[in-house]
Amino acid sequence: MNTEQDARDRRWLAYYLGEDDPKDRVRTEAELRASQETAAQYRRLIEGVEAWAHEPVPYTPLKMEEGDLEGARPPGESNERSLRSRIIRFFAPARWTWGLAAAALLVFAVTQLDFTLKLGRAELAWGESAGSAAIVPLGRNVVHLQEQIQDLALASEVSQAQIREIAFHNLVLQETLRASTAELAFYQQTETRRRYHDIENLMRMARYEYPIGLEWMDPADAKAPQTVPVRGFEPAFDDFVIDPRQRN
Amino acid sequence: MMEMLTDRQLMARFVGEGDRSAFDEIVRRWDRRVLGFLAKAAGDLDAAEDLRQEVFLRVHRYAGSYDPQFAFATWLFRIAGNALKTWQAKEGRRREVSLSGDGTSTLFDPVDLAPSPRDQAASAESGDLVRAAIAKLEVQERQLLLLRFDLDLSYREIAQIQETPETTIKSRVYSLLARLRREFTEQETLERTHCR
Repeated sequence: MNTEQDARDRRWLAYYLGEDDPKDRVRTEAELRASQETAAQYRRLIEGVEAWAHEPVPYTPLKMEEGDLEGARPPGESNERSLRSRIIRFFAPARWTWGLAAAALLVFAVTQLDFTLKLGRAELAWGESAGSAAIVPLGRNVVHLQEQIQDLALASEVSQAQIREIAFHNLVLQETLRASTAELAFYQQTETRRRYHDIENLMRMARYEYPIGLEWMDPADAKAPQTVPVRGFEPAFDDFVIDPRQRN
Repeated sequence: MMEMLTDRQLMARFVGEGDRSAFDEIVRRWDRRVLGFLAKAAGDLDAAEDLRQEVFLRVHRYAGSYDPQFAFATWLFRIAGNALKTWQAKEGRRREVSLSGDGTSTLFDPVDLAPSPRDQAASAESGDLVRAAIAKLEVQERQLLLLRFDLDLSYREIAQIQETPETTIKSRVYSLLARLRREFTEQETLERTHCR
């Protein structure tokens, strides 16, 4: 159906319903006169709809007994109460949830029970048997052992780290000792040389001759010691004699 | 005494004082129209009688929520409309108004509208065609026609009942009538072809 026909439908219907715009009335009436058959259809339609709408139905008066109204709320109550009760009803657990909770409780209680039922030869051992009872502590021990192994592994790691640290310190100490020993040797050698020179100088001062470097010589060559005359100095005391060979 | 009171006054008495006779008067006053509305909208008289009781039970139960600034009819027929909606959802399918094709109604007696015997025959025939077309409508659509043509409510009041803008309601009524006219015209054409 096109828009023009839609508009005409609305205008004609409005005319028959008495809801038309007075401005359109002249135009509508002219249109209706021009197509009387269609106009008659509209009229019959409106009349038919009105007839259907006003048609009586078989009627029996309603009887509202007190029993019918028992479930109804007293009229004095406001709608807020209804809303409140609806909210409470919404959040309150349904009846079946109580049943479900009771069933869950029963199942839980049964799983906790440990009993044996004997009917003739048949035997029902409900709950923990001896075998399953032993498994529980075993399981606990395994868990405990696992924990200990973990602790041990941790301690081992710590110990390894400590050992590595100690080895390092040891190396450092060894190196320090080696260096100190070398240094000590060097100082000892230097001191020895200084003392030797001091003694030599002292002997010169005392005009004493002694074999040159006797203590450093090969013992085979020490048979004929060479003496070095000390010149320019006179001994201060006659009894002041220093002979290295008489030391020990 | 009760007959003298308006619907609003009766509701005020019922809600405020719990006066059962005020409620009974409301029922007496609106019972027939509510039943007619439900029967024609649902197309099922038995269902309509059950629904009517449900409607008045709801009126009794929710009387406290009635706002006197609105017409009682709009509140009452909103309840009736909701009851119809619930019923329709329960039914799960649209039920056709039990009108037979030969023009005899199983629900209601035909109404004499025509002034002359010839016109009467033509009008009755047209009326049957209109009824047949109406029977094909949805419950909600029949409800709209009834609010407009049976209860003579304004578009504004219908808009309040259906909680829809007034312009939408008016547009729906016109569209429905235009659809009915097309259906009605087709049926008439078919009948004439058949008679020839």
